[in-house]
Amino acid sequence: MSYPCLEPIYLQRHIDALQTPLGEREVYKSVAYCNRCGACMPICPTYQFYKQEIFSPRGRNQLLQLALDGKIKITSKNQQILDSLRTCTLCGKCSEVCAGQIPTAEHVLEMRRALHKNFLPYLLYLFLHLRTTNPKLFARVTRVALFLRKTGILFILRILQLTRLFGLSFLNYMCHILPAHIVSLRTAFEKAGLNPDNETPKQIYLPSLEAEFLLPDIACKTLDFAQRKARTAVWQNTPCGLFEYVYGDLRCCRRTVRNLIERHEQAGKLPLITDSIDVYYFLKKASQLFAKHPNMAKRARDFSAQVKFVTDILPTPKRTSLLPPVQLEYGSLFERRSQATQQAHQFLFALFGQNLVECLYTDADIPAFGYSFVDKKENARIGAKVIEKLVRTRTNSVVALSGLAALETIYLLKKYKIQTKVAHIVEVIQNR
Amino acid sequence: MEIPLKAVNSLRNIVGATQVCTDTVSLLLNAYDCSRSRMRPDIIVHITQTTQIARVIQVLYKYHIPFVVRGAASNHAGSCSTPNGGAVLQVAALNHILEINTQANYARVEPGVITGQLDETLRPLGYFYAPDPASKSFCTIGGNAAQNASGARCLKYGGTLDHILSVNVVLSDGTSLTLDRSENGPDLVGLLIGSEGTFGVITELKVKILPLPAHIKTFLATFNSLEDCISSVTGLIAKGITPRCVEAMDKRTLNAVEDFAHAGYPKDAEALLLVELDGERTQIEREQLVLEDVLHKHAVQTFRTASTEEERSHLWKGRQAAYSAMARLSSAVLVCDGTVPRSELPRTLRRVQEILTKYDITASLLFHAGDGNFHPQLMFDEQKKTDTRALGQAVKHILQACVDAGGTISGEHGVGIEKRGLMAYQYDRDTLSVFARLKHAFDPDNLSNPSKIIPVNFEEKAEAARPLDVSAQPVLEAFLQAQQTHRPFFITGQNSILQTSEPHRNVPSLNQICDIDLTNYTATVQTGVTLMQLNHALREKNVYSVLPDTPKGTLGGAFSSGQYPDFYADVTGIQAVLPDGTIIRYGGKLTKNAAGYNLIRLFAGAQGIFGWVTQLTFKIYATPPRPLAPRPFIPIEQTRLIKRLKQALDPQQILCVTEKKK
Repeated sequence: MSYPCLEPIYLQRHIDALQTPLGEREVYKSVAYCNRCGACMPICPTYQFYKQEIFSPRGRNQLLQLALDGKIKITSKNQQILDSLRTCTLCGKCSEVCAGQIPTAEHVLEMRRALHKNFLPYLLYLFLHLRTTNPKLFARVTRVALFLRKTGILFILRILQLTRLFGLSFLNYMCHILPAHIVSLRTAFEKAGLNPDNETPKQIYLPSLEAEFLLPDIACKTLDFAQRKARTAVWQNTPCGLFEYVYGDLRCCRRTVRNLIERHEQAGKLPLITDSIDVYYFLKKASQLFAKHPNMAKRARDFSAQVKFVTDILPTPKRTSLLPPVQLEYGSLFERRSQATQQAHQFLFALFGQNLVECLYTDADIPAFGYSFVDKKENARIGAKVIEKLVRTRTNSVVALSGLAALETIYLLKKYKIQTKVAHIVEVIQNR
Repeated sequence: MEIPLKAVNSLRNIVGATQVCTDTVSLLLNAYDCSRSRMRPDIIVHITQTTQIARVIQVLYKYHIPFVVRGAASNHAGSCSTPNGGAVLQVAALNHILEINTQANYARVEPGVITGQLDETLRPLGYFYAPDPASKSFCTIGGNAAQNASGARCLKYGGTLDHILSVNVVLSDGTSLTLDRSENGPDLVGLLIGSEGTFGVITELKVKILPLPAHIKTFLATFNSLEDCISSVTGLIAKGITPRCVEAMDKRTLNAVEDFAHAGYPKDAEALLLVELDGERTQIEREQLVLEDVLHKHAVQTFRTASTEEERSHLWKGRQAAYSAMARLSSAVLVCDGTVPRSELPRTLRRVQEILTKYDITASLLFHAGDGNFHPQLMFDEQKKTDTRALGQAVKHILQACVDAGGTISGEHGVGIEKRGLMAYQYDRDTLSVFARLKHAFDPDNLSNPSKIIPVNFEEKAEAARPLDVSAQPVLEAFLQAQQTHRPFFITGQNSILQTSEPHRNVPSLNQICDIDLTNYTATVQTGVTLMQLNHALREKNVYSVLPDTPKGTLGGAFSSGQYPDFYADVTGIQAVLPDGTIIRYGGKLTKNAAGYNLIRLFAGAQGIFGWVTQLTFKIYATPPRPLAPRPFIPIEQTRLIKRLKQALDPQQILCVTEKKK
């Protein structure tokens, strides 16, 4: 049976079937499972602020339903639709509380694809897209950019407001959130005495973009823990397709993931470790990209089965003394209830016991994966609510599950002049 | 309908330009709720401050635009759909808890406050808000009040109706009113609660809050038959125990839930019961012994106890996951909420299973066993017309089966637009005409949530009212005589309260105790029966009422005088006659009824100015409750609203109104 789709002439640009916690479902069927009960409304960070149906998960699902039924057209000429789709943080909290676990974030992405719009500043998109199309060039450009920042040229450009002139105003925010000193991954590995090129590895470490170029400490610590467990090879500068999945073209995403799967198969289908919860969730559902190709879907499922989050390689923690209150930052893409998140929670609970601060389900989380570049205003608003949560719970430190979430949190704390520490989960043990 | 540009501009001036939407997308996104109805409004007005409501309604009144209030839009009855188009007033932004007073045990809230949020705010203070609809984590208090929502705790604590102390309301002409329970006269707050926004817009509520119980203990019991399960609940109530919750499910549901949630429920049982007791530790221990005894007498199969929070949440896991278990299996789930007297539950549930089999519909069957309120969750595919047609028929027959068993089409979800057709099956023409008159009194222009509750052409669809018993015939004669002679009169019993020398009528034949039901624990009594006679008759059967054993006074007097306001919550059914001969029959042996306007509360404390209450059905108890102390009799103050109601129900002014002494 064929179901209506958003762009019948561009089927390749859309997902054929979504992999939901309750099985594989075509987009039309997936959205039809929404009972309009409204359980998702109070938890949605955008609905909490706007209190308008169009900014709620239910509203967004109904938007897709109406579009699939041909009652409205998803078009960038409609400002209401644009606002609704842009503001969604893709956090997946709505799916968590939904009885049918409707993947609203995936539905939003489907509509964004129909709009042919990614909401990122164009030059930033081109730059990050380069990582998929030409990773070597991307690495070079990044190095140049970091050099310009180090020498202060970027600072002068910002002072003279020339960044605005060239459509590079996103650099201002980027400079704020990036760490002051960034060393290259190779240097960091050397300093830590780690060998990233193991010829007969037992597992593979796929560093996320931020771990590779911005926060090499995370990559070092992950590799350190991984190597304590088994011989580990690092796949440097290897795109995983998540950026294209969220902001780019799905065809490009499929190509990237296919390449990754092929490389993984050639390497002997070894366990693949990632330090980013966003990458983990994405790769775990890789097979949904190939729903129309059973053979490829099967290969993708085999690949997904080997994907591990860093919590899998962390040593069992031992509680030694009373530690200050800590909070797990759940901010991630698509979902919060996976085994990896639970493992992270258990890990922190084992370490901090009662001092692991539990939050209300309506509390805000850091918007994930570059949302701050999509909707700066909304991001600031949600950020303020995150700060409110940290202050209310008197949390001493925050543990993030991805480098990007850690960077955003650090910036936020700096902005509000709050003395809370932020660490990636791999940094928790050594930081003690 | 087309909204005049002037009206749109006026609305924008009040709430701000960005808060008024007329674009197609916004209209379509406000066309639905959790029911199957989808009706597109013409304008959306997002209210951000309570003070805007009256001004917005004044504009809508001026341009004759109908309006519907929308909070979380989580209702199952299509109560916030807009069949006539018009405006949707979105009040979700009115979500502030204005005051919590733990000394006087109340909280003041705006209508958009999420029920669970209030509960969470109260918990650290050692208090809770008792009504607990299953959707409490996302439904709003304003919506609960509009629908008179209730939940698992209803048996012990009552529904929303019993927990609202006062409301600020704006009528359809923009008039702001404050209705307070503490004022004498008819219980207009009770009448307004459950009116589904058809009388006006609630702008603020003062709700009752209660101290958290010291201890809670949960029990799980399974049975070989549904009858045993239900009769054990009756047995428990017969022992004078009112549990905090009594939830049950049938075998099919039990299996579906266990497969999904793995709560450890025994899958071989025919019925499962979850009982929760709360109070002091010694009280719970005492009640537990009784519970165990009762359950064993009714052939309990398995019995488990949970006292820690962890154990309790494990036992509740399955019950709470029941909706999720169904929502995952089907693209759409429809939840019914028919309610029958508790004694009728097993028979009705069998009938429901027959109907489901006939229409080939898979459904789970959950019920609040203490209330006789059951929730079949029917699975269907919204995209298939055959499915939706069969579903419509099945729902109709299920709800008709409830009415046939002496029940109601809605225990807690309301009527809305989805069930209004069935109102003509539940109520007779006379009672429905009273509903219509009340709606007209509050909202003469039919602007506030129109086309809800009252069925279209009910004069043709509904049956004529059954004639009154012979004993009540003199009431009709008295009214006829007064009409002919144009001599108004007071309704009296023993004339002990009014002690009036002006013309007054008493019908001595209204002195029958019609029924004392020891299964449902209700008594049906005519209003001329004295409190002495009533209590004597009840004592003979080892049951009790909350009314005191006073030497003077009748049941009708106790109900109508306003001296015993706490008695209203016990009244479950009423029969009354209006001066024009209209016979009202509302409620019965039901713990809850959310279908139609609450006519019990209209006559409660009304001092006989609207009509003659001839018969009441009310709760009785297995152990003597603390008798109510009478309040002093205060004549009604004739407010504008009471005059409007009086005009609607007694236009010829046949019934006298007591003058307030100056």
